[in-house]
Amino acid sequence: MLANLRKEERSLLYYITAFLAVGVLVLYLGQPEFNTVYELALGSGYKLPFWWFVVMLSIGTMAGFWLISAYWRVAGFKCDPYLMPITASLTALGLIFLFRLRPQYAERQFAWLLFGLVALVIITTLLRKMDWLEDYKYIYVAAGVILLVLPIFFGREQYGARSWLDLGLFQLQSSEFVKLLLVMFLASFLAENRRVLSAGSDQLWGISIPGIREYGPLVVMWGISLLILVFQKDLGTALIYFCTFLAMIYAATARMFYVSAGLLLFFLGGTVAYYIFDHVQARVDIWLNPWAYSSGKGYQIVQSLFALGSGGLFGSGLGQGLPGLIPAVHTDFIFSAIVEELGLVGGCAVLVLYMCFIFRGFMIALNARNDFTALLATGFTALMGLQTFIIIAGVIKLLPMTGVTLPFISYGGSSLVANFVLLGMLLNVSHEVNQGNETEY
Amino acid sequence: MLALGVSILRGLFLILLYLFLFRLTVSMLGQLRQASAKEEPVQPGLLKTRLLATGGDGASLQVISSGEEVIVPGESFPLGDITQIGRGRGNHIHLSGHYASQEHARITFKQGQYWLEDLGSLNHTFLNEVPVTKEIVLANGDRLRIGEVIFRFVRWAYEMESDN
Repeated sequence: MLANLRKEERSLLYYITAFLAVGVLVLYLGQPEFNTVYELALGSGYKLPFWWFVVMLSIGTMAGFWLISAYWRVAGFKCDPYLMPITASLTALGLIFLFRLRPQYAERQFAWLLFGLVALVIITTLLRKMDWLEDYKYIYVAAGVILLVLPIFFGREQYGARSWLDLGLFQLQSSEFVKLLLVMFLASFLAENRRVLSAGSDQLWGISIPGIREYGPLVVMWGISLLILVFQKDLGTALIYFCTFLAMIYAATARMFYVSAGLLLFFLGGTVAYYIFDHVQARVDIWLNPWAYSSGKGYQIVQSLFALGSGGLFGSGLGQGLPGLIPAVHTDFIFSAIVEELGLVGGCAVLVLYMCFIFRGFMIALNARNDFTALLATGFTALMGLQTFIIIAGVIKLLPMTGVTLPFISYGGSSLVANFVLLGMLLNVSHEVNQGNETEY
Repeated sequence: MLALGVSILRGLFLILLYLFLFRLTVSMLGQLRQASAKEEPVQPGLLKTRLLATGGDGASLQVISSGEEVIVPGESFPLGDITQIGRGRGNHIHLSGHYASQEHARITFKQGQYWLEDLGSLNHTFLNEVPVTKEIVLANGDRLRIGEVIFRFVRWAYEMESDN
């Protein structure tokens, strides 16, 4: 099995290649008369027929994934064979929908994808031994705080959240990278302190209660999440940070106390924020009854619900729906577009893909060789799962809508690159596991 | 004609997505099976290389009754300077039941006495059916219970034999 890891990966990539090819063909046959000349935004106004542009980007994407698999084979990288094909399938699906919805964004997404793939190669080459990462936890804190604070002063406000850094050529959403730093810091902090944190002193209703100093991390993390909520107006990010923290501290200590106390604190903070801040109140009001605001603030979510409903069981068929009516359909609401065109069946397939990703992530964490890498894998997987859950729940009105991206599918450069970095780190942990197995047995 | 072809292709698009999922799931299940098949033969090997307790003065724990396959009644575990009992692999007495914690209890030999200590286990350690809360001295014939496994603490076994 171990010798066949890359072979397995390649046989899975064949399916993705066929999938992307059929998708592009459907789009082409759906509107062959759509023959406008496409002007490359990034290539200094170079013009080419639209469908050539689509085909070239698709070939480029698949070539990227194939080359990485080949490179890993040559370099003897023994990582998990499933994560990369799952990622490739999500990316391919995202690209197909971007071609269909906003071709300009597909072009930029492709450029970011190249950055992401390069980041993946660099990380899986240079960071294969990860133990030393444990020693620099306060550097992560410093870097994370700087990245978080910068947009508060120099950032620009977009879509109701102040979290973008304008770098001239492109914009960077720094909080996407802070997520990774947060997980790295927490993994090394918890690996060092888990014994202290899990030793309970008293018991209350069967749940052991820690002493005062062990509240420290919980309260600090709660404070940071609330600060993000207040200053950056970024509801989704605050929620993801805090829930990732809870997942990791639970994985490290196995104490329900942290989870229950943490959720209680978060609800308290959320309730206070609801009464103090207008934007939080607006989000919740829209969530409770979007129909009252259906022509104003609630327009987006109402359109999303219409799209979800009109999809039905099998959807309207790729290229035949009207998902373009939803504002921001290429980023936050891409899941609605997918469900409208591929139906419940397609939406479930996307969910199962994410589940497989999370399943493999936790398997890697379970087999990891030391506390630090195990917690790192747990944290990254939890981050991925929570982000997916929060955005999909927002789109289908299960939770108040918060602007985060659907990993690998949505348009969003910083998020895409950050997710590829996350994937690279997970694969490094699994490489360490598999390498150990081979020498052991 | 073209419309029909496109509809078929649209179906194929979804079918390919599900084929990929199917292939992925089958492969992941196969990998899980392989992993569990790999782990099973390891188990008895580990027991043979059981950690040997060193030190002590020849006292032992005799198994009186046991609900486990691994530990059989009548078996005797010699006690060393430090003897760890638990579910984890680093223990001298390795229990496999779910009621045992990773590090369940510890018996230490100091100043000529054996001291039993519960290591914060979930289901407690019972000495003569009383839960152990602090470190306590063991006396010959004491009954030690962890879950369904009952041990008898035997010290100076040769004296007992001569008594009989």
